[in-house]
Amino acid sequence: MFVNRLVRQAKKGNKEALLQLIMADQDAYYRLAYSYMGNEHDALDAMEDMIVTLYEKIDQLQKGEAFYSWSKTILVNRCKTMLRRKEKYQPLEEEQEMTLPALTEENPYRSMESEMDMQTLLSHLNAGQREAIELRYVHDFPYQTIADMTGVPLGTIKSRISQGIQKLKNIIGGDRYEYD
Amino acid sequence: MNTIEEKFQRHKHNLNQMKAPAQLEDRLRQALHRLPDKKQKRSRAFTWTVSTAAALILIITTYQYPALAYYGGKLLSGRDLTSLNFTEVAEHGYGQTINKSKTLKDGTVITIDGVIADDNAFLMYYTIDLPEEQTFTPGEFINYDVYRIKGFLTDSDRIEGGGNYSEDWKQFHGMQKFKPVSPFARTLTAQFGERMDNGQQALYPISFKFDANKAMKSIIKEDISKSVPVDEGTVVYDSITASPTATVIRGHYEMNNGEHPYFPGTTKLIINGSEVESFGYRSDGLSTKDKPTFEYNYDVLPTSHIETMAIVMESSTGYEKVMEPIPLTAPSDRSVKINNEKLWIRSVTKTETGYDIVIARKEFTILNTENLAVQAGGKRVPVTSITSSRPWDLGNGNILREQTYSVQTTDKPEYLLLDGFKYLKKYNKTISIPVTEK
Repeated sequence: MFVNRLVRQAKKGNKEALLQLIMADQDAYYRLAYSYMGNEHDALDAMEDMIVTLYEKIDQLQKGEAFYSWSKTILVNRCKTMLRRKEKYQPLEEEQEMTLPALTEENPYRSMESEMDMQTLLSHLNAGQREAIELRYVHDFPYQTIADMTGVPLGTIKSRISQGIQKLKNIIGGDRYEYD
Repeated sequence: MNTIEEKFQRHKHNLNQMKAPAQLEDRLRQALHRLPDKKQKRSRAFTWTVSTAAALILIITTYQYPALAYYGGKLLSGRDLTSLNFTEVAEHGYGQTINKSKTLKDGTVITIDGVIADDNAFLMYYTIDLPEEQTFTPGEFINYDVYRIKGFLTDSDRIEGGGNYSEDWKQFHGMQKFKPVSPFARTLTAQFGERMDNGQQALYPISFKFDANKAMKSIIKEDISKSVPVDEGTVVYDSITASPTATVIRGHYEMNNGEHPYFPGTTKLIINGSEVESFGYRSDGLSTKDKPTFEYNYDVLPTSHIETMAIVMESSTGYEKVMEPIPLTAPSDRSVKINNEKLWIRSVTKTETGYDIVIARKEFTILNTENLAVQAGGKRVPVTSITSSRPWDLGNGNILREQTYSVQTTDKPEYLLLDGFKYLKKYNKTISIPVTEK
């Protein structure tokens, strides 16, 4: 398989193979970094950090197929470390009403109506719920991957997502009402 | 559009409009380029490096370690320090024995065997013993982590580490390298962590007495204060510290834009006429004067007897202004000379909305895209989109990078209007450093 072959080459120290693996899914990586960092500059920094870590740690990756979830986990961790350093991000606690700095002034989509709407909505969630929901519904990760990425047990992820969704449904008035 | 699921669909659709910026690939390639190439697998050592862009507040102190100079025999190399266990390094007269253990809930025992402190780093040797009947599986040691040393005036992030399994796979001997600790610290606490099956981390701090008298004195510790002008700024080499655990050249950049240069390039360290192996480049944010700083790391010096010492800036960032328009009328696979570099205008093709121009370049030649435009029908037409770069293999060992530049015009482009490009420039500038042995 294409991914496995590149992973094997990358393990031998082939930098170009590692780069190809990332570039094949570059937009997804970038969006993931962007949704944590909130601006292009920091998103690119986080990705640079990520690729350095990947190069140095790829020997530890056992299954080639797991490359994408493994590397994205590392990206999420790099993002959180950078955010912590900026003191924008607090450790995720269930009670904490912290929000991820997901979309800031520099986001080109902020001005769009639906985006404003979404940010207002998401701001009602706590950081843990919000992160899990964004990873699930916006970045399409499976539950298990989200659990691995965030280092939170699978059951907690599932309950954060369902509680978060329920909360949002209550806010917008459930499935049935039409406002417009 | 009112159910939450639909809202997410729309939100996702919006986010999916976002594409990775064109410079992403170059940024990642450069980040990889700065890393030293992997060596052939060492027989008994695993190594890993924790990448860190840490802007640590370094404690400025003129305090000199009280010494215990160990210059009896040959100095252990960086590789020796990683692959030997503490008993073995202690036989060479290195470090302070600690022997402090903590037993985890499942019966696993973590022991800090010993430490080596000097001006460049703090090395901690530890052993993980699994409970009876259990053995490690390859890679499992990363479940155990030690990532921080704290103490009086000390909060040291880790830099890198490595280790070996015992032959029966029941033990793991690890070495973790941290930023240096303060010589004023008397008690240090190492933060161990164990990653649990549920993905969470259990923390086990282990404290021990630190004896600064056992710290090791540097072989060389001196100011360099030499500036090398490069295009669009200056690289300043501030100091060199050769200690028993590493050799580090520190410096800062004074670039016109106040930032790090686009290409850090390579800088070699030559001792007694031989090159010392490079262990990589690290750039750690801003110095106290708000200047971006850098560190070039090298192996431990092969000898404490230094006759000559020189730094060679082999390459660094370069910038060339381009004054002449570049003709686009005869695309071919032959290069066009632009100042001292080359570009390949491979094709100019009509599309539905305008023209696509394929331009190839060397890997580390980066065109200025801010004001990039073409001249078409006598008018200036800006380049509206640029693809990510892809390889163009010339089949003779040279691989170039090519990109497609799109313009929206009905007129055939006549010239490329490029104002300049960055490139990895050879400087080969040698700075001799007078030797004053400590």
